[in-house]
Amino acid sequence: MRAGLIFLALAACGCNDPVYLTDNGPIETTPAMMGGGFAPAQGLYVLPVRKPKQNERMALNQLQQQLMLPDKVPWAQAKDFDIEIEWSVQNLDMTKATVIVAVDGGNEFGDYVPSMYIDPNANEEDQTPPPNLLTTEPLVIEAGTTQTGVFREDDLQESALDLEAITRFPSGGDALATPFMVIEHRSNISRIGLEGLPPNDVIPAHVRYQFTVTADAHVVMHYSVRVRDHNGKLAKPTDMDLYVSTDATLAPPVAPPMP
Amino acid sequence: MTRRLRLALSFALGMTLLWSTAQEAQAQVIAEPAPPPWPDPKKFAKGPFASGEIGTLVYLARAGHFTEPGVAFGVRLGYDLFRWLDVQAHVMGASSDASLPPPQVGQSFQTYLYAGEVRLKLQIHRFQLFAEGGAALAQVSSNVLERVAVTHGSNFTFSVVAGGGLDYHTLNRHFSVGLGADYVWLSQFTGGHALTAQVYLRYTR
Repeated sequence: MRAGLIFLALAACGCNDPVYLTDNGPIETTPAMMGGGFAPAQGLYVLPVRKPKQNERMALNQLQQQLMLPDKVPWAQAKDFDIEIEWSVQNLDMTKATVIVAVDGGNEFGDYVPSMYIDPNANEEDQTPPPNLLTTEPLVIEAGTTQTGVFREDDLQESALDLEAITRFPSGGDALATPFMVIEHRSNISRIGLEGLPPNDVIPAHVRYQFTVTADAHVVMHYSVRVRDHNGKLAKPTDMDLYVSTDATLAPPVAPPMP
Repeated sequence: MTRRLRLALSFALGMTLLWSTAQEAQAQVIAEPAPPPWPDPKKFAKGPFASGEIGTLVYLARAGHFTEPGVAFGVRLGYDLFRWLDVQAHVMGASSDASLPPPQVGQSFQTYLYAGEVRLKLQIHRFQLFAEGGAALAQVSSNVLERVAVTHGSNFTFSVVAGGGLDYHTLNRHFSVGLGADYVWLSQFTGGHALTAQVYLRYTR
């Protein structure tokens, strides 16, 4: 009898079941305008987060004072969501393709665009962009076949932490160097690059996903965003007047110096 | 007649008289009489009952195209109104894997069924044939089947349940075990048909 009641209670609470959000459309490589080959294809997906109510805004302000944080407390917080991105890449060509899938994007405060973090004062051979927030190894996909993969929930939690350091609290104030430090290190192994984060910081969620598909052939990528919403902040994709900006890019509070 | 012959005749006559008047020997009863081959069904417990079940849920039709058979657990609580009729509440949960086209691979979901049912019974000694049916609210735990147009915006649907099975009563008047199978029609899901099969243990107070 007791087991039955527990089962009923679990069923009633839903056990934090995920919601699957479909992509805005496929991301497909096209032949490059110049030089042959295929140009990288890009697509942006913004997580539909509802706006806070008046009392929720006030609670955020109070929390900022309570935690003595120098900057705003985010509304879309990393602890509010567990997010997983499932993707597939289909090779539409007659030859095998080498493909890399990368995800950048940002939080509610700003985006991380790796090409903006090239140091113009460095030697020419050192002028390389920092790594993407999330990326695959080069995938070799046979003609006409499809390969699938997942950016897991813990990957997205890590990218949220990296974004916080890059966009608001760079290590030692060095905006250009921070991406190299935080993306290359897992925070549970090394805190390198995270020294600038204030104590008690509330980490904003990674809610804007800039997908980049780089391939040497004609490929098409599909994805699905799986969200477990712990605090009822997720809205329907069709809702109007959502919280996170859908602009193509969002300038971060701490931007890298312009060349 | 000689004296020896007269003695032999007397002995033969005596033995014949002894055999003809002796009583037959009787075996002693040392075991209880054998029980009747079947207990009397009228002595089975009757009234409130609870049963727990384990089995499988298999989606059919379009939903079956995109799901794998899953393990199912359930509980039924009810009351024997008559020897031939029960009313029961039925809660069942099943976990199934979704087999969707890419990119959604390796996902699973749960199906919950909250039903009110009646059960018609025909008792044949220790065996019972039954048919059951009712109305239910069914729920899937996520919108994972929305991409393949099985669910449409809502994860809930009205359902109809119908099935039957065989019950076997143990020598304990309270307990029986059985096999059952039900068909479930999920009205708001496209191609929403499913079968469940289960074994159960039932206690009647």
